[in-house]
Amino acid sequence: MIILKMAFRNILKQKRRTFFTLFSMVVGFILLSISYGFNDGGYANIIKAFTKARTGHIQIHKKGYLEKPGLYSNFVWDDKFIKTVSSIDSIESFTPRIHSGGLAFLDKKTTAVQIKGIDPKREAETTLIDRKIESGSYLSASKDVRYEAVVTRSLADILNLKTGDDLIVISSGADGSIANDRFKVIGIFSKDLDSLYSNAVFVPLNTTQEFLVLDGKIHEVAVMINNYKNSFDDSMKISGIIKSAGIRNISVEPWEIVEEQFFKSMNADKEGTVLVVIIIMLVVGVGVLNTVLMSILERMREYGVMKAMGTTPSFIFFSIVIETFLMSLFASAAGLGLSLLANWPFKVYGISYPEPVSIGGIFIETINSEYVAIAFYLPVIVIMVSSVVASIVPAYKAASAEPVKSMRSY
Amino acid sequence: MMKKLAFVMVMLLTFCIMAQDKTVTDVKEILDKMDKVYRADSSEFEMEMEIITPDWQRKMRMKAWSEGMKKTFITILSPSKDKGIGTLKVNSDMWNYFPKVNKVMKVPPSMMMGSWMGSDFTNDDLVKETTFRDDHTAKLLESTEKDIIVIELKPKESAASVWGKIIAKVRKSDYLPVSEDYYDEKGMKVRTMTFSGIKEMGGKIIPSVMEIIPLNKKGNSTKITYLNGKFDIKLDPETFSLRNLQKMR
Repeated sequence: MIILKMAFRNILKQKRRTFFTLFSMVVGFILLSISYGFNDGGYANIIKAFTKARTGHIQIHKKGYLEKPGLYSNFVWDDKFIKTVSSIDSIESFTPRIHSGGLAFLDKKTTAVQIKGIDPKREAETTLIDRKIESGSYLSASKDVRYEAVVTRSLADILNLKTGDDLIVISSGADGSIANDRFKVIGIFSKDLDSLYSNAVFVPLNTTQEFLVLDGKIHEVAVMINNYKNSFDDSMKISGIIKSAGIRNISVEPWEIVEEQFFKSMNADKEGTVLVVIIIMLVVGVGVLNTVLMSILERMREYGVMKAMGTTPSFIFFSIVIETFLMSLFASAAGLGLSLLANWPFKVYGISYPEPVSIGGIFIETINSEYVAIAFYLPVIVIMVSSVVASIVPAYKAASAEPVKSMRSY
Repeated sequence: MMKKLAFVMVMLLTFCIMAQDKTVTDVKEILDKMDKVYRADSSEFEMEMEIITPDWQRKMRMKAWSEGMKKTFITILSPSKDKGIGTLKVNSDMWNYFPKVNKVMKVPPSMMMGSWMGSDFTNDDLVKETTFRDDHTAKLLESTEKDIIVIELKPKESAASVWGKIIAKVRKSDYLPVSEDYYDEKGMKVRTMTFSGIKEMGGKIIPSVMEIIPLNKKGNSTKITYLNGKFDIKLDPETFSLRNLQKMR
């Protein structure tokens, strides 16, 4: 027990030295915590924004749709399906979609368009798309309102569209007929949506089904779950429940597979920043090592006297290691509290890019940090391990040096 | 003796040339007949088109008018959803009309090989002005069936044709077509057309059922059944105008 007491006393003996050692440990802790908060938390935010904007956490299609999407790769969206999916607890919301293409006309102007059949209410609940309307209004959830459309800014610009215009759309019907009809444009989305859906016209689901002769069928269901990290497990769960309900030929995939490209490029990006974090970790470790080393070497004379008076080398060795360990413990506790504070403005306000950066079609203007566990436990490990490791060599040196030599040289 | 022999030789040669000439005229006659099976100076037809694909099936009833090779006008009568959709072809130009949106769309050259109204007929099938007689070189092939003549047709270089060759089978008795196999330029058989249900219609004997099977699209076929028709009738010149296309709704 005396060894612990000694360690404590040593810490309190030279307050300024202790303060600087602790200070360098705490600063290192906070630095690491912030960089991890940005790295992991920032990506978590991007994933959340990305999945929320269009993909959802999980998507349901007819088998083979992702490899070869097409008008006929569809499945039935009926009460049974809705009831089956609704019964899954971890699902927060889900929305059906129809994807097709066609030609749009306004006066003498023509352009190719994406036709998106959506359930106005469910889509708004799932992707908050209704908040992106810039002029006019969003699609009405009422079943009686039909042949109305909202369009993306890019399409409105190409055709010189204004709200209230009659947009003519021609496409192929699922019965081989030529689908052709007029849609009243009631709203135009803001530019934000252009990178996700260029030249798109959004039409209520039931109207799209009638227009394309799809008769109760859809191409996709986007699902939001309560924790995006469970996307793989929940996909399996949903798939199992759908299968056991007797709905066949359906595939359920997490966003990581649906948006493989985005996922892969994001992971590559993330690996790049891991290198930066490792460098920070190294700098912090070396900083801690430096101060610990200094504080021990400073006291070599003291240790020489202690040894001359009969203190065993192992006592000296352990008292130094325990002293450093205790300091790293205090530093971690302080670092933890201060990191929570230091991360807070980055979480709330983030850091703004001078120019918005596009990641997978989503424009990111600010990068926000996040309170992620790793940003707090990893610095604790790094600080404690590097401190203790840093103390071993000088402690060994102090413990094994001849008292006369130590007293003379320092 | 030599003189006699020479005479016989000359006679034989003349006969050979004459015989060859005879077959050439025969083939031309057959081709002419084939070209005119459904064509006259003018015609009016009502027909039914049944399209079958692995994903959907559809039946349409339509009415068509034509004048010579250059002008055709088709309007859809049923189903009601598509009623009034029309196609006008004058010379090599083609327009589609969609009554629901009151829009006339010219079919661009790039769409000529595209499907007409979802069927296995291409727009080009409707527009083409080539004839078997004038735009193809013909060769009689050996027939395995007794009453059938087999002709190989290769488009002349001057003819605007998308096919490499066509193998046509016609009945020996009246030169009515039985089948036509279409090959692409690489010699692959791409589609088969069969003719059946021979009937008298508007004073002409025609195969009333025409079925087209594209070989590159499994499970697809289009069947046209001629319900009634008239030939060589007087048509209002206004029939083949864009105005009429929009009026038919």
